[in-house]
Amino acid sequence: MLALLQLIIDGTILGCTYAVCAIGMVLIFKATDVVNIAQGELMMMAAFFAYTFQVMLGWPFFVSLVAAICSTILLSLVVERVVLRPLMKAPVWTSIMATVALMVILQAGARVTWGPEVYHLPPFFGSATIRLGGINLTALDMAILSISVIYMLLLYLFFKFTMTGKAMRAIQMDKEAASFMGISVRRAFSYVWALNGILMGTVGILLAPRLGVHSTMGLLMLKGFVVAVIGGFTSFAGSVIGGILLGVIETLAGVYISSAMKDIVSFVILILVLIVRPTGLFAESMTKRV
Amino acid sequence: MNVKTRLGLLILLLILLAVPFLGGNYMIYIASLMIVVSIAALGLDILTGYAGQICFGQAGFIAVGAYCSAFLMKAGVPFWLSVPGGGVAAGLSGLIIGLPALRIRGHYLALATLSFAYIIHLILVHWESVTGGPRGLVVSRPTWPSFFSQDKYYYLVILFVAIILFVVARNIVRSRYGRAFLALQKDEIISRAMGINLTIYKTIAFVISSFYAGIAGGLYGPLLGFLDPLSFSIMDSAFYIMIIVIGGRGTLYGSIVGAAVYVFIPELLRRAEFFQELFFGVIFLCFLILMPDGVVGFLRRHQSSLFGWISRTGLLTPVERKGGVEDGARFLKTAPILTALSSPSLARGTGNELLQVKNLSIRFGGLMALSDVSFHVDTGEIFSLIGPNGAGKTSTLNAITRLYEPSGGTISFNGEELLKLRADQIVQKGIGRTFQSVGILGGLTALENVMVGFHASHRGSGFLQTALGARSARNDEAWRREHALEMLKLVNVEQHASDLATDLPFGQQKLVGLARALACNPRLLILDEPASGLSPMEIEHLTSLIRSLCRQSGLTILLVEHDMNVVMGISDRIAVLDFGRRIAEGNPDEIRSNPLVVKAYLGEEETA
Amino acid sequence: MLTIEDMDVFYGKVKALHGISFHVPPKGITALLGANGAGKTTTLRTICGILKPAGGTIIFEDQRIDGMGTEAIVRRGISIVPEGRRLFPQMTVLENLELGSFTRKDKVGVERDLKQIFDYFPRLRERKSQLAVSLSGGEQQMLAIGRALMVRPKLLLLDEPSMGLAPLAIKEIYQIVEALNREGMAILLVEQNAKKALQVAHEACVLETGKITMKGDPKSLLASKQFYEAYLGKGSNKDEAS
Repeated sequence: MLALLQLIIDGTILGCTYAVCAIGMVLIFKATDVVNIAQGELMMMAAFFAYTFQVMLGWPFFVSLVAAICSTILLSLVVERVVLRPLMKAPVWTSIMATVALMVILQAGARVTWGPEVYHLPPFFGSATIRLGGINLTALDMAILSISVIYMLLLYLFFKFTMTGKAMRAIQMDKEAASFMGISVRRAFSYVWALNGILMGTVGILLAPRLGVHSTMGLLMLKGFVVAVIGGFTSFAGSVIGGILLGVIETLAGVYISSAMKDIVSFVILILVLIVRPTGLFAESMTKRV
Repeated sequence: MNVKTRLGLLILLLILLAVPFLGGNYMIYIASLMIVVSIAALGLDILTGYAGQICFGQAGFIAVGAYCSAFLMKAGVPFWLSVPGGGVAAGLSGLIIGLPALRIRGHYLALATLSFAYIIHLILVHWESVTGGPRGLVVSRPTWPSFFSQDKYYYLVILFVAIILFVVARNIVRSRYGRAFLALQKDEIISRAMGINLTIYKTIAFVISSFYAGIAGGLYGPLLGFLDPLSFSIMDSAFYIMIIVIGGRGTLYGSIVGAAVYVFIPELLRRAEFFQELFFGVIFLCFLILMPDGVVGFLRRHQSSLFGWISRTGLLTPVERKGGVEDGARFLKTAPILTALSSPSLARGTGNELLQVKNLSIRFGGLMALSDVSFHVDTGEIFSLIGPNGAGKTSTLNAITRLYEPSGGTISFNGEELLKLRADQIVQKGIGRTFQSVGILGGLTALENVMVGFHASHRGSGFLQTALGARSARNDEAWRREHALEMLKLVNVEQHASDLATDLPFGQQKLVGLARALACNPRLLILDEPASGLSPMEIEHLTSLIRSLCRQSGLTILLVEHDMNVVMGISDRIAVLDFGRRIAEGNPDEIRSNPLVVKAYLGEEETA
Repeated sequence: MLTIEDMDVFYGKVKALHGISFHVPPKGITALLGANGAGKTTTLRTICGILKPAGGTIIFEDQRIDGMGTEAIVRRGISIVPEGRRLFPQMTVLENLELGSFTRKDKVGVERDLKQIFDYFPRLRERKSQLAVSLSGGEQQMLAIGRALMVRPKLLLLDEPSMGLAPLAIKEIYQIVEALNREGMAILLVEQNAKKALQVAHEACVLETGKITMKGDPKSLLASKQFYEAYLGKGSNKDEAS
């Protein structure tokens, strides 16, 4: 029983990272109608940035952490301005393709710049472990959990109570009406990508010590897509619940079926959800016009 | 196919045939790889370029074909059977993966197909006992006849298969199937109105694409000598999409160009593999932003200004020379075209009620778009449905053509209840329709747009005959071309038959839409705001056309229109809707002087 | 205040407006009328920058605004109550109004205007925390107008304010329109309900298939036969040979 609980906790923590990735994707999608296929690659770049600053340049931990996140934000803004802004008028298909191009470019670019191996980032929190009533939680687990929760809380507050947050929600509801309020849709696009940069940057830096820094680490974040789809691509709550669900199912599958199966399970779930309820498990059903 | 395209292809063929005899082993290998890649790209172009279904799983289908073919060969099945076997296996997986496609589109479909590719990749890596896992699976060349295992001759085998598959692809794409694919990509609503069953056609596209991928996979294994899961990753699926975009989506020839770019980049950049990927990714991005039509698309568009001698690579242009048009005219029947097309089994009485709408109600969320609307249209009359903005006119049309689901009421046509039919079944019953927003299909010429109208009314040969280029299929196409031209003549747009429909001025686009609706061989023609956006002269032409269609061909017309002069001028009877209810019905004079109608249109003053 | 000169607008490939010219004076209510599809909404959408004119000029307070983006035009002082209201459905009444004041920096002024709008529309004050989507048609229209007013515009564009409303609600809305104008706001009113609009307007223009065919004061328009024909067409001449 205790072992099961440990697995569920582990799965929940894993699920938090998925949820954060999904939230970033949903953010971008709701504001710009684009699904960012390169989401995982942003995380990968953040990890490489952290590696560069901390290991290659030897900067102190906190400084390199901040520098890595800033670099990721900068990268996101550059991507938005250079790749996606020119395609604003093009059909959505083209923008999605552009994020695919980005995925390839960032992955290959990482291999060219740093190399194809797995690089190691020392764990920030050492190997401190807490025992809570028989459950083990490493310091990293605690960090992931607390940071995820903090981010979700901050985002919630941001969107509910700040003027900028409300303006962005307004854009999602009705882009044209928002512009009638004098809200700059273009600026909102940049904000959203910057926010996503913060989210994915954090995830990348947190997970880097555990996963190892390598150019294909972004593939893990495909699960973020799965979560976003389960959550209906519209609600943050859905991403959170879906993320935790997926993390738990995956962890349990990894132990009770086989570790090879756990990835397969996630994607089979995705396909099933897409066939059975493409609007996701949590989106409100919409009256279908044509 | 015109002379210039023939010449170009001949030159290409000669070059390809020369490779094994003039090039070294490495050259042969590169060329073989390019051809195999182009086979898979060809299939993907049909699915993503023509039918518009974004598929990020092509590498997965190739893997299915490659491994299944390898297993079959290991089990003793000869190469010549195991490669098609791999194709069939891939086709089956395409059928399965195509299922989500029926309900989702765009990025959801991209994700679903991406997941499929990833799952296949994971299976290949982890199911070591069967697939050999990361160590790979050894695959041998065909053993009979034995010389086919040599590089030179294996190349010729690959080339031979590729040529056959290319010709088949071309036959498919240049037929009603290709048009149906393009239609469903450009506009699903119009497609259904033309009788195209979206489910069936999307599935066909998926199966074709995955079959081609499977064949490519079956050929790939023996080429390399072994199979390795690393060759079938998500990146590879992404590369296939990139190949068809760079070459030119929806051009078929683009897949050859794209494959060439993909295979030759490593040659140009003999440095580390990663530079090649990076370079390819950057090129792809540049193409997306600067040349979204791809190389072939760009050439096509600018052919006249660029090279006089590279003409349109003529994929879907049936009428290339003026001569072709006149040849078609020789087969003209003297009888008016509509009566020549009409089926004798449909009785044409007069005074019968052809369409009966009874107590129709439509609800959107909490809003009643239509409440309890009833009217009928008699055979042979021009009936207009008018009313202020938001009155429910378009909703009524959409309910009749089954694009909306009413919440109450019945609609019967020629005695048959329409509400039990799907949108793509309506046209077969004899109801044709134009759309307010024109609904011209981009990427097709005016003539081809009209030919889409024949999809349901003139089905012709089946898929196999079409794919294999049988004479019956070619005759069908000739028939459709001639009669589509007739339709264009009826509406006076025949001089633009070979022009891209989207290049035409708006008024003429609307006329093409009308010709297309006529091609459906309707008994009831529904016109949705035909006059909007037209100049006064075009409106006059339109009204006289509508009148003559009705009087001379006995066509029944249901007209929704805002232009009151048009409505009053040609209608036999008019029904007026306001706020979703019918407030008046009668002939034009009655309607004009009906105080309820005046109030609906002009509003009313407040009496203190 | 607003002068449109010789403006051509294309909607896709269709020429929706052919060289139209008219003028909205600083203190009046100007009505833009016409049958459906005549181009009224296209005109408003061009003024607020959603569409760009292909020819001609739009001058607002001595500055050309044609070709400017919507956000910039709104910041210059033009606010629109769009056709169909276009409220933010999942936001409360208060939030919708607050978004109207997005461009403003004067907190005190915003508070004051908010109070005034609730004075104009007491029902909105009652429903302050309700979601916009739960309001009745008339209340939604009031909210849409209130939201547009929070922008503090110099010129208010009203696109079919009476559409879908019950007669009583229409009456209330028009009372507000008149009150606003009395306080000095310039209003350009597009309406299908021609007679109602003519009751409050000082000047009117009639659009027919993208051209302005009539201009004048309400009285003379209502008396003219041409005005009716613009809506209901000319007499039937069905029996003419085609």
